[in-house]
Amino acid sequence: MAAVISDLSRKGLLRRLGGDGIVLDTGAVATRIFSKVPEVADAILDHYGHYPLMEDDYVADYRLSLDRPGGIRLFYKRQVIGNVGVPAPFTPFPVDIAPMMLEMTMNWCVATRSNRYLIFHSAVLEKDGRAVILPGDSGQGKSTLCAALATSGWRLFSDEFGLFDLRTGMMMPNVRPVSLKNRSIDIMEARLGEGVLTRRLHDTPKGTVAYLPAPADAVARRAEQAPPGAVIFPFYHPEIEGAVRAYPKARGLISLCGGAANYEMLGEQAFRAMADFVDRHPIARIAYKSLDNAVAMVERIVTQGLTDEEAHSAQRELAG
Amino acid sequence: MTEWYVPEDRKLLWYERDGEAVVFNPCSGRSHYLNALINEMLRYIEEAPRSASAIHAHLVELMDGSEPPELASRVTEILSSLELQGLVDPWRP
Repeated sequence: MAAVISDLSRKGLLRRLGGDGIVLDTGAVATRIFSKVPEVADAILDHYGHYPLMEDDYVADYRLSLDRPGGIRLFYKRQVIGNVGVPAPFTPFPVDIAPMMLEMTMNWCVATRSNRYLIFHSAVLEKDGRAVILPGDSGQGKSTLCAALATSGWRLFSDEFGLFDLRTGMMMPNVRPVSLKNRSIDIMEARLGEGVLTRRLHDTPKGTVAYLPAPADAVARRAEQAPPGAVIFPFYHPEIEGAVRAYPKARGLISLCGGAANYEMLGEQAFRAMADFVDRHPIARIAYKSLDNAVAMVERIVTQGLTDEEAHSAQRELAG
Repeated sequence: MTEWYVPEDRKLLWYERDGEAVVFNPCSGRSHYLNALINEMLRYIEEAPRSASAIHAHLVELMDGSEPPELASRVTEILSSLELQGLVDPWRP
């Protein structure tokens, strides 16, 4: 059986992090990480302990380090900050929340440097060979639904960034933990039981945060791409149980454009790809209060498409 | 009288469905959502330079002569916002 990162002892991992670094192969990208901070080693073991232990000379896409900040900060508080070799918009975090700094720094690399892909701000999951893209801003329920799907038979591609290969038209996995915030943590813990999520990080810039480590199957299949099957904008609503609406195409397109991290950089190529994308796949919005119902709605839309009634809802919206 | 036109170098790309549109401006790299009214206006301007009053008359004709209240001021506002977004330029003789 291939070695995994957690085969290393904490001390052994720290030695690697302080030397040649350790490579996290998450599918579409591989990141070489350096650190001398023990809490960073703990975070890697918690989030990526079941990922393969790559050879030292594995070629990575990005290099980043997580270290203690210099200057006066070094003396008054134990902190950690991500460094990606160029100025990045990070401020130091207390080492207690080093896992969040690790994930944020990795996110920054993907969002700013993965320009061979069109980067949707979305969760992506796959089932039966088709990927569903779940775009959404923070607070819309995207990550909660992503976590529910990832633990209900769907294969996790990403919680944060959907990577669309403009050359092949395929979605690329970038398998990382699902970030859950505040009330979502209780919801998922009630669903999955204790001990599945990582420990809670309190007083972060996003409130309380915990992570659902990527399921083993998603990690094992991180190189398997999938064609897109549908785009669904999820919306948690405490009073609506299971409403599905087709998104008028032009509005769906502009929403996708607005959520693509590198859309303006890729320019005309991205516009043409996105327009084609919107024409070829169902685009819907769902409002839900029960996760089980949301999972069922996503499953039905991806496998069977929208009903006539749902499809006509876009026309009614335009007329109204 | 001021006329509005889409400069040659803009070469706008269009995605039109159900009367609404998204237009991509290669000069700015930005895309803009256009509702049915704005879509019609920009399409009309793209055909040939138009004055605000010509645009207004065209819209009234499309609405079978029934003019919604404040259409004229709305046309003026939309032209300003299209100019601000770099989609049209004014030509003032």
